[in-house]
Amino acid sequence: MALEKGDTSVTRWIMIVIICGVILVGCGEKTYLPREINSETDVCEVCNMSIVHNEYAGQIVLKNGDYEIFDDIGCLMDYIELNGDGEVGAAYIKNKATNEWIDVYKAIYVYNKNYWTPMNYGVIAFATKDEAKEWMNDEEEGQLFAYRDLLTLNWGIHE
Amino acid sequence: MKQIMLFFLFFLMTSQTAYAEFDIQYAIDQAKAGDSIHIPAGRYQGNFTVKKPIKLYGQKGTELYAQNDEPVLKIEHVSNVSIENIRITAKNKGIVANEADNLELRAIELKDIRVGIYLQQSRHIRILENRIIGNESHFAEKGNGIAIFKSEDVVIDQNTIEQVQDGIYVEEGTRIDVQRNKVTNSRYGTHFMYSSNVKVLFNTYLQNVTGLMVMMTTNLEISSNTISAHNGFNSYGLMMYDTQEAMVRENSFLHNRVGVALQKSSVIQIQENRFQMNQTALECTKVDERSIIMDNQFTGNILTARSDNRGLRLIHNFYDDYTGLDVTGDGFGDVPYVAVSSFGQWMVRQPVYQFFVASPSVVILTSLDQQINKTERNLLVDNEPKLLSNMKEIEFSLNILQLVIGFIVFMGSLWLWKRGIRV
Amino acid sequence: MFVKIELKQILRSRWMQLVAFLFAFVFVAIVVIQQMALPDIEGFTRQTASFLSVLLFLLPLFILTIGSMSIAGDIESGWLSLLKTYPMKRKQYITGKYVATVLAFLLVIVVAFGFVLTVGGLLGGVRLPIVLVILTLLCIIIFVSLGILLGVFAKTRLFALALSLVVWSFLLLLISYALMAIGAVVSGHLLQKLIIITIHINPVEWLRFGYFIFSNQASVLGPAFYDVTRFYLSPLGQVGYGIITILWIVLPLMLATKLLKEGERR
Repeated sequence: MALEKGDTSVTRWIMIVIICGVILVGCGEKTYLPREINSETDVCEVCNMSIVHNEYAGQIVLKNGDYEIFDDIGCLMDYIELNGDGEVGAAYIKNKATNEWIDVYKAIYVYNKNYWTPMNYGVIAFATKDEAKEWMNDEEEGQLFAYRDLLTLNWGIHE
Repeated sequence: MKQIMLFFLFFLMTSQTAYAEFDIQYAIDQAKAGDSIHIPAGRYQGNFTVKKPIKLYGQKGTELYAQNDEPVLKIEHVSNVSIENIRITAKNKGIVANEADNLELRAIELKDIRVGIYLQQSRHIRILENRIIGNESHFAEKGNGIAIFKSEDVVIDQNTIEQVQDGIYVEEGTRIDVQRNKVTNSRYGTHFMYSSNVKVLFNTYLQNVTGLMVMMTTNLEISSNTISAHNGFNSYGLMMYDTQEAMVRENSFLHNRVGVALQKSSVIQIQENRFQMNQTALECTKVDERSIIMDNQFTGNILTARSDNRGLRLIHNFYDDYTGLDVTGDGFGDVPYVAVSSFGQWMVRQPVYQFFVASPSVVILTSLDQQINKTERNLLVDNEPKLLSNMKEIEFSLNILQLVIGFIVFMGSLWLWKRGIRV
Repeated sequence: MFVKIELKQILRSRWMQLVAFLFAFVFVAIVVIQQMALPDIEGFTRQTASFLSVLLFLLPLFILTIGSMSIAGDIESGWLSLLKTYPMKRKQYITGKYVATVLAFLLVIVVAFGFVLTVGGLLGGVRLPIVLVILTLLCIIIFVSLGILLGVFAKTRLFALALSLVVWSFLLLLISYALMAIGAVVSGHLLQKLIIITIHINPVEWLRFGYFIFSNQASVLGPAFYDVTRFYLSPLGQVGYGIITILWIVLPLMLATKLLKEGERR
């Protein structure tokens, strides 16, 4: 009697754990939503700087559900260059104009070596061309880039 | 000049009251090159600009505060300016210098500021004996104590900096000397980016997120600093990222989460430092083969070293957990010291493993490791570990109170025990 | 009265005296060795780490074995059947047994700590972090309860010993190793969630976690556990910690009482 009871409760536990596991795994794989930056614990995956300039931050949601956080689009590109984008579920960068997450692959980039960014790579992301132009009106003129241009950009060297 | 002295005398007599009516900006505008302006004690509100070579002296109780978000004091396109002995408060920036040459800032107290001293495209600067105190908010919302951009030949000596984002932030600087400063309770004690020819000597870094953060910088000397109690979630004593040619000597790394971390760096020499009671003393990833770690002392660290690299060279260091003997009597242990542990290596790859730090299972694993890894030849091996004979002696300094209490508790419980058996 | 008799029996056993001696010896060794080499610093150092490890290693081992064997011995020797002729409920028996065993172990720990303080006094004073002392107490009250459950389940001394050892090695080592092995293949966030579950269902991890929380060294566990540690640092979380701890004591005792009743009915 006692044993039987024990058995059922054990199997129930196992079932619960399995279900939880399935839910956890399942959640991770369907959508890759960006998460909020926690300035207490988040540091750039590449350069280790803590994220204090939120409006330049980027993140990659891996296919296994892990998040990699970056302080600058340059560090994000460095990560992609090193690891490829096979495991990348989605990649986001902050829109400098609105401080909202936008898709790295669809964003409009402006480059000028004099723009300040956390790593001083001088590349800033926007959701639309208008926002980018507005930025350039206020600041110095820069070059407009799409994502594929970033792949060939010579990061970090801007003498 | 005469006029200014008159002003000064006049106010010396009449104006020990606060809100003196001395017009600083007027005095500056009237002064000739090379003049000295003595600002009498009192509180002055406003934003002041210096565009000519003059000297500004405050006295005890001279205090400037900003009218708006603009800096209190702007120094622009000018050489040979010196400012001394003033208190400054501002919502945003305290002192901003742009294209200044031969500027000296001494004994200035900056309080409740976002950014203390902000320097841009300047040369031959001396920032001495200042005191910079930020506010209580989270470091992500604060500015830097001393921020230096694109400048050359800067000496930062004997400043005290508290509660800011980065105590001293240097971007694209060359010939920067950071000496005898003390930075506490900030994000990074000192933070270099894209700089070269840097000296960091005799500083004290305490309880920041990270003591010394060096990024994309070449040619450094980091000596005789004390870097302690950096214990946040992502803290390091010294972190070097993408750094070339650094000499790290005779520093003390005490009680940090990670004493020294090297990443993507090359030609780094870490010599004669003291690593004491850090959770991890040394962490190296992507470090080249020309970097060496020599003649250091490792005591009381939970994990001595972890690395992804086969080439990291440990030479002649002292390890307090080394168990070998020195039969040959040359001062070095006869069997190699192996610092590698599986757990340490896993932690490099997957940070979540940190949960198990020093947990019982890991303790067992590590002691098993040490048996198995005795044959390790390349990874984190010191073939000639130094043995020290000058270990601290046990001091028989009596702590009477504790002795008595301990003894009473001990005997009392034994007596209770005996009684318990007899009943 | 029953508690007194039980206490006397436990204290008389050679096991207990051995345990007291062992604890005193190990702690003194740690204190002396570390005192020689290192200055006294607040926070998570190798000294506190080794204290913590030794505590988590030895205390559960002895408590589980001694606790379970004492109750299984009662069943095996017929002492329990004898007791049943007295007007005493099962609940009273289990509770009495629990209180007696807890008191016995408290005495052992007091002896050991007293000895450490004495030796520490000779060396110029040592600090016994208060959190470690509290942790020791929690460890005793949780594991005695588990030990009693194991004893009731095992019914014979030998089986109780074996079972205790198996459970002990699972709680202390095997679950951790399993997690570490799983961690090599699954993603970081999944491993993190598994670990959080483990914290709550493994009393050893629960105590270790509690140590880091209450000694304000949550950052030792790493940034991945920021949210959990922050929850348990909040007042609500601290109450939660208390409740779960009490559950760890009460549930095994209740289960033991139930098992005992059902065992008799058969």
